[in-house]
Amino acid sequence: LTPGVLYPLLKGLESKGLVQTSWEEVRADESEEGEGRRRKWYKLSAKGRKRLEQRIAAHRAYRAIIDAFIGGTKGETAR
Amino acid sequence: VSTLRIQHESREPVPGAPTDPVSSWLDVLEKLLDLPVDESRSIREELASHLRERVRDLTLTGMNEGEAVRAAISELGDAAELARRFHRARSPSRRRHVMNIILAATASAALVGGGVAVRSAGQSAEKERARLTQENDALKQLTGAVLAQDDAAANQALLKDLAPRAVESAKGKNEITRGAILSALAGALAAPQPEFVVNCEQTDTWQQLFDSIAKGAGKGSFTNFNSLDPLGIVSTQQVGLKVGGMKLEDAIRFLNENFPDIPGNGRIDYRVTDSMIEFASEEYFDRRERTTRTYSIDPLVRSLLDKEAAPPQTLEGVRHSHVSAEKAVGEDISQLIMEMVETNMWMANGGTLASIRRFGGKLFITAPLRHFERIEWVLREAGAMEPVATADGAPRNVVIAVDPETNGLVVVRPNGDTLRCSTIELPDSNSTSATLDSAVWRRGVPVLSSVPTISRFFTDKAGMESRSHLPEPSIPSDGLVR
Repeated sequence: LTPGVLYPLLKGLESKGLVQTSWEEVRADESEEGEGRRRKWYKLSAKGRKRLEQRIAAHRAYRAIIDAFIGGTKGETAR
Repeated sequence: VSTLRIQHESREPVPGAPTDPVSSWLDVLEKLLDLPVDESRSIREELASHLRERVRDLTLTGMNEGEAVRAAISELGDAAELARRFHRARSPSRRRHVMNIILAATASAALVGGGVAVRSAGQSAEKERARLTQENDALKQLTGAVLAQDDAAANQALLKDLAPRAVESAKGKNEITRGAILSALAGALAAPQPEFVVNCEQTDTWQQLFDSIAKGAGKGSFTNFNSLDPLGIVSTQQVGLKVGGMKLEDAIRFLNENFPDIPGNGRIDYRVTDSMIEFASEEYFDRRERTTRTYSIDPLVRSLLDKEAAPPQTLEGVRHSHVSAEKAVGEDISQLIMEMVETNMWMANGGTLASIRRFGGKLFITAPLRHFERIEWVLREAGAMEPVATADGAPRNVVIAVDPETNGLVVVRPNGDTLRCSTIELPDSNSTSATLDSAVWRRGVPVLSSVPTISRFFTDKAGMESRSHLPEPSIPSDGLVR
C-alpha cells in the first residue's frame, strides 16, 4: 500500500464517518520556536467498527466458500 | 512568479524554502484537487506533514535532502492521479456494501469457471479436453465438499429446493435459457429461511428485543437502527413484548403486524448469515440488493413491424419505422411493468428504488433483486423476453447441476446469449448422463451461480463446517462482536 493510495482511502473513511481524526502537536526536542510538527491520528468510530464487523462476517462467508471449494476436511485445513 | 511562490511559502512553511519542491508540488496538487478550501487545506496539511516526516526518515538513512525530497514525492505518485483518488474516495459508492457478497460469489464462480469466460476461438480440442478434465476435478471436489457435510436427506431437500423452475423449463429442450436460471435462482433467494424457533422473554428496549430474537436463534444480532428510525423504532425505546415459540419469520411478521407505530409503507426485515441475523428496514435491504438487468425488446419490435399495413419502401423509411417502433414498444412495456410491479418504487412514479431506461432495442431495468421475479414474469407474458445480462456478474456465471442418482454433474455455462448445458462424466462413476434432457430433467439442480444465492447456500450449509477451523479475526472486546 503506497502513501498515494493510503491517504485518499483514509480521506474516504473520514468523509464517511468511519474514522475519527485528531491532530496532535509533536514537539520533538527543542526545535525552533512555534514550529512543532503536527501529526494526525486516526481512530475507528462506532460506525466504522460496525462496518468492520460486517466486513468480517462477509469475509468469513467468503473464506468458507473457498475452503469448501478447495475441499479440505476438518483435520487437514491449514490454519 | 517568484513573488507568488513566496506568498505560498509564507502560508505553508516547509523546510527548505524558498524554492522548496515540496511546497510547489503541494500547490500543484491543491489546484488539481479543486475542492472547497477547508477540505483541500486539510489534505494539503496532512500530506505536508507526511512528506516532512518522510524526508526526515530518508535523510536519516543517508540520503541527501534533495534526493529524499524527490523520493518522498515520487512515492506519492502522479499528482493528477492522486487528486483523482481523493475525488473518488469522497463520493461514496452505492454498491460498496454488497461488494463482498458479490465478490465472494463471482470469485467462486470464476474459480470454477476457470477459462470459460475468456475462451479464445481458436482453442484446440485437446486444450479443451484438458480444461474440461480440470474443471471436472474441481467440480467434483466442490460438490463433494458441499454434499458430504450434511446428511443425505437434507442435501436432497436443499438441492431439490434450489431450482425447480430451471429444471421445469429445461424439460423437453436442449438448453436452459439464462432467464429460466435467473428466475429460478431469484425464486431460491425468496425461499424460506432456515427455521429457528425464537423464544424471547419480556424485554425492555428494541435493542434487547432484536438481540434476544437473534439469541433465540443461536446467533448474534446486528441491527441497523438508522434504517429503522423512519419506522419509529429507536434502540432505547421501550417495547415490552414477549415472543415465544415462534419461527423467526413469524416473529418478524408478528412485529410488523402488531405495532401500530410502524407506518404502512415500512416493514422490519432481516437477513441471516452464518453468525448473525441482520435487522433493518425492508427499504434498506431493497436499496442494498438493487441490481440492473438488460432485456432485449427486439422480438416485440419485430412483431410490431410485421403488423404494419404498408411496409416502408425506402431504406430511410425502414430505419425510421424501426426506430419509432422501438420507442413505442419501449414506452408501452415500461408502462406495463411500472403498473404491474410495485408501482411506487419507480423513479418515474416518484419513487427512488427502481428505474427503467430504453436504449435502442434494449431495456435497462434497475430494481431490488426480489422484484425481478415479477418483472420478468410481466416481460415473459408480454413477449417472451429473456434477460440479456445482469450487472451483478451473471454473464460469467457457471451453474452446476448435480444428479444425485448418478452422481453425475451438469455444467451450465455462458455461451453467447444462451446457456448451453453439457454433462460431465465423473471418473469414478460408471454411469454417464447421456443427454442433457435426462440429466437435468431427472434431478439436476443448480448448486453454484454467481447470483448471491451462493453465499446463502454456502453459509447455511457448507460454510458451517469450514467455519469451525477458520481463525477468528481479533477485534477489541467491547461487546460489539458476539
